[in-house]
Amino acid sequence: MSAPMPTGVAYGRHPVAERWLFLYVPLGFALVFLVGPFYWMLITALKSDSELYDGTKSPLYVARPTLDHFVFLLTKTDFITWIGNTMLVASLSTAIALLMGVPAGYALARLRFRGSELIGTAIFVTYLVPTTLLFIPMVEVMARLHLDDSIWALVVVYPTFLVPFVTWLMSGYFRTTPSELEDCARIDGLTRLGAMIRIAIPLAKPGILSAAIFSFTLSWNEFIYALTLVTASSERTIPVGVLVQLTRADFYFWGPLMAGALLGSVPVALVYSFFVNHYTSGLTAGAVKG
Amino acid sequence: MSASLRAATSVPPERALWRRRLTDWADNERVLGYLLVGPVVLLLIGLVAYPFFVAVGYALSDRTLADEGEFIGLENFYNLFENQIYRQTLGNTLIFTAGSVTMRLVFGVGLALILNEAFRFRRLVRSAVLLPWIVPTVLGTMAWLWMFNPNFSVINWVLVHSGLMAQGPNWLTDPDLALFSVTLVNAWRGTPFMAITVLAGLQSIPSELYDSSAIDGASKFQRFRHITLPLVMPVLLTALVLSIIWTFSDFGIVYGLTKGGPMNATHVLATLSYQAGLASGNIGEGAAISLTMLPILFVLILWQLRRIRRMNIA
Amino acid sequence: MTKRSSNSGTTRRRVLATAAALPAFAAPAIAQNALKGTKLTILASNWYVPECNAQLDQLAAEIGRDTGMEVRIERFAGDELTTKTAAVIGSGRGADLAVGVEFDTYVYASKLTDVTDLANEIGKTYGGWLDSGKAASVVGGRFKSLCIGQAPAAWNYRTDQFAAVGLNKFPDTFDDLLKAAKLLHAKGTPIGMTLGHASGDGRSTNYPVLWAFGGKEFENDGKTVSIDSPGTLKAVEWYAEVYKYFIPGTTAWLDPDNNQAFLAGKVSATVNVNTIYLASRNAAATDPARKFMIENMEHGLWPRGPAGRFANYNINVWLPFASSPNKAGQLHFLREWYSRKFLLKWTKTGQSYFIPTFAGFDNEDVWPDDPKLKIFRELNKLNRLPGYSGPPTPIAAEAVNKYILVDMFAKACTGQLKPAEAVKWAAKEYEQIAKKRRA
Repeated sequence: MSAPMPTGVAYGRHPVAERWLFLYVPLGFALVFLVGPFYWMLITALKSDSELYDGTKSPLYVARPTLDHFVFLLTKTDFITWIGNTMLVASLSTAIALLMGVPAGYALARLRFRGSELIGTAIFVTYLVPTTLLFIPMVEVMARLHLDDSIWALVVVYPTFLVPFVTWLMSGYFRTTPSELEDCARIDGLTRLGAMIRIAIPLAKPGILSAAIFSFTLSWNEFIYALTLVTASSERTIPVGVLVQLTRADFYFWGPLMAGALLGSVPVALVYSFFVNHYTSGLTAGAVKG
Repeated sequence: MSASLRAATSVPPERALWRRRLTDWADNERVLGYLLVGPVVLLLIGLVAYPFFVAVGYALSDRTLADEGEFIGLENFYNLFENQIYRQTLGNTLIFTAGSVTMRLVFGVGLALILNEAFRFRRLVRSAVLLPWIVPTVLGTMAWLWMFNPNFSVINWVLVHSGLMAQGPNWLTDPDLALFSVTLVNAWRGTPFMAITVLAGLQSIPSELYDSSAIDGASKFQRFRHITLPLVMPVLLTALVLSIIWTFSDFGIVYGLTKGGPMNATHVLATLSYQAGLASGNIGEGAAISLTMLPILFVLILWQLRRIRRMNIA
Repeated sequence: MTKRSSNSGTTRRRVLATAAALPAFAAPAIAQNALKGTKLTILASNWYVPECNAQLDQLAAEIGRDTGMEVRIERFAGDELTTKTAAVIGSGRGADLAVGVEFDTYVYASKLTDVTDLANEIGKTYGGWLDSGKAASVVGGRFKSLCIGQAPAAWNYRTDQFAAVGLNKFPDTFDDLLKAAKLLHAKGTPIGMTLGHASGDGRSTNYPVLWAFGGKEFENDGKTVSIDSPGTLKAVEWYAEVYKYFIPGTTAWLDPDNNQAFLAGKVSATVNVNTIYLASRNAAATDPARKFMIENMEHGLWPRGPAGRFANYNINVWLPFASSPNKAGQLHFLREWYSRKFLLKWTKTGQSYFIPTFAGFDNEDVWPDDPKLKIFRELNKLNRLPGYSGPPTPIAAEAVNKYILVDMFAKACTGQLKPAEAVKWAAKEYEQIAKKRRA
């Protein structure tokens, strides 16, 4: 018997041709579209300035690669500081979002109490409110709390768009996972709270992981609040820092900018790749009931 | 409480009383429920609901950064609907959202189907395709800015040098093409999220269903339509709802690529609101523009949620 | 985490309050002691010439050493600086001073410190403020900001490419410029003017065209819209004609684009400040391409139109926030900035990048030695602010921020609207803005 056939793609009469047509060719296009720009960023980051701005040279390869831009980025700018700050803010915001959102999601899914459906809908609705609307009042609120001009302001503000999202995701997740194990535990003497902490949450690890990854990425990318609520350059995050130190009036330093783009994404992608397997299974259960 | 537990805990009477009270609360659905959602509700009331109502107040006034302004009712909104730039922006935002979400859907589902197959380096590819979503928006957008540059575009260079065209397209210059370009970049950013989400759904479909349908002689397309699609629909719709929300209020991509140009062809409600509110200091007008996003978003989302609910009942 | 140091004790508070209440020229004696331990946060942008930025940092450090006041310079890129300043104005906290543009004085007027006395003192030192400097800072008869300088923009052009079509100097009239554009286009070396939503080049490229043909946005009251005029129509028609001979893509040009195009040799002339030239000159020693560039480029004046020769430059001002708890610090910093020992050195370092708006500067040693930069001294006298013939009001500011003028030209050039329709469109936009703002 020949090698086992792949599950979805080639079942017809010409398996090899079909595999190429329906798998490899589309995969190729997908890679060029999604990952191609990163290859190009790498080329740009490795080109010396004279080669970069020479309109006659090919942009697809680099004749004389140089690490100057990376060196500049890491030594002459505060890039490392920005990465540290961004990591700090993203991690803390994610932690807070999970601490608040997971129990809330559980409560909305498992517990019956007056107004739970209303609260659930209300939490979701706050997610629709755009940042551009809230922005100026939020700055004023932060000022009144004496939290502005500090990285801690971000840690307080980011959960406002992370928590509704986590709550919604986790409530959907819990709604689809069976409650038998928790019921058994309660018969054995655990309170509902105990059941939640000891049974439900550990079992929900995949779902929580997905929520964590989403939250981390959303924090990582946020720009407007990062710009307006933080002034000190030692406390800035990547999006804001990059714009001020890698552009000067009407000049953009493309080499270091692309180096920054790569250093600001590839390591994170590597970390995520470890979690991707857990992550994908976590999403299924959480999404079904919406 | 079970006898075994009671026997195991021997504590003085008052502590036992409090212990029992706390345990009751931890077991009581109502109390526990409110306790667990309480922090979230408080956070959202303080930091979302309150600023929201303040912003609504702004939208009903002619407040500027320097001037408290006074209540003018719905005048901001009348002015907006009379204004050609606003109407154009509204249209742009709808096209931008529809186009980008559709692209994300098609590319995302396609990519998910591909990633569901077994092939060499699959794990590496799965991580690599996440990159557009991970790269900080500002930096990713700048990369595209340079790739679309009228003079230095790498895309045009490839197109011209491979003989496909005499001159590369005016990605950011031609008004219609510019709108397409920002839509494309937004789709680029969002496709990985859609793909990974749908992939999760695909992986939960038991392979027996496919095998038995193959035995029955179903074609590839029939399998997709009758097995895959229905089973993956709930996940898909969830991702769709999130995509619509994120795309409709997206700010960074247009801001980074065109600042709303050329000639306002790419302005979306978020960038227009920023331009009116912060750049010009017209807080009232900026808030009004942002506020007009809500009804539309509401309708779009309600429509999707209803579909999800119908799907669950079925 | 940064926290403001709180003033301990009422004595210092009283001293500071007294210092702020006194006329500016009496403040110095008290300021030295009163500033010790206070903080001054200044928001700034990245000026193109790195030494200018470095000198600001040095000044901050010196002031810190001399007075014990901690001066912090926080930099943001241009557009982000606008957002950040708006946030500070909105919340009343976060900074004491910021670099802004001339419109900010008008938009934020009620939230800025009145610095009229200091301004008069400084004006006397340098032979008086130029009209553009006053227009950028005076609201309701009082100085609410102090003009740092204006950045003259000139026509940067390639002498070799112009010579190749028989032109030995930059065209002096708009008709000649049109003819030159045709010749250059035929030779494959077209010119280009920025027609995109570029916050810097957008205005300095396009307002002069409007004015040269006699068009203007507002009447003297700054509220009556007068853009729908024969002069405007002529300007739009000229533009629509010359656009045919431009390098393609200028309607998408943001600020860096014309620099990049010129430096890559793709465009033979464009309007820009001296940053293109400086970029080439700085790299000329090591990069032969750049050396070639500075040897074959020159700067030219704006051509004369039927109504005259005009120009528009970006202006930077110091915005002193009224919400600042450290008014004495604001005044002290500004006094140091405008002192002879600092300002003259700083201006010279900029090589005509930003030139302070003083009548007496013509006689000072602040001008670059480089012959190719000499023209900026002439250009410095030509600046006219948007909103003409009214003052640069918030209405004019909004029109600038919405790029109405730029879009008017762009729509006619690309054929989206006929010239007359484009003018009508712009007029309608201006009317709508004027109607809703109580200027």
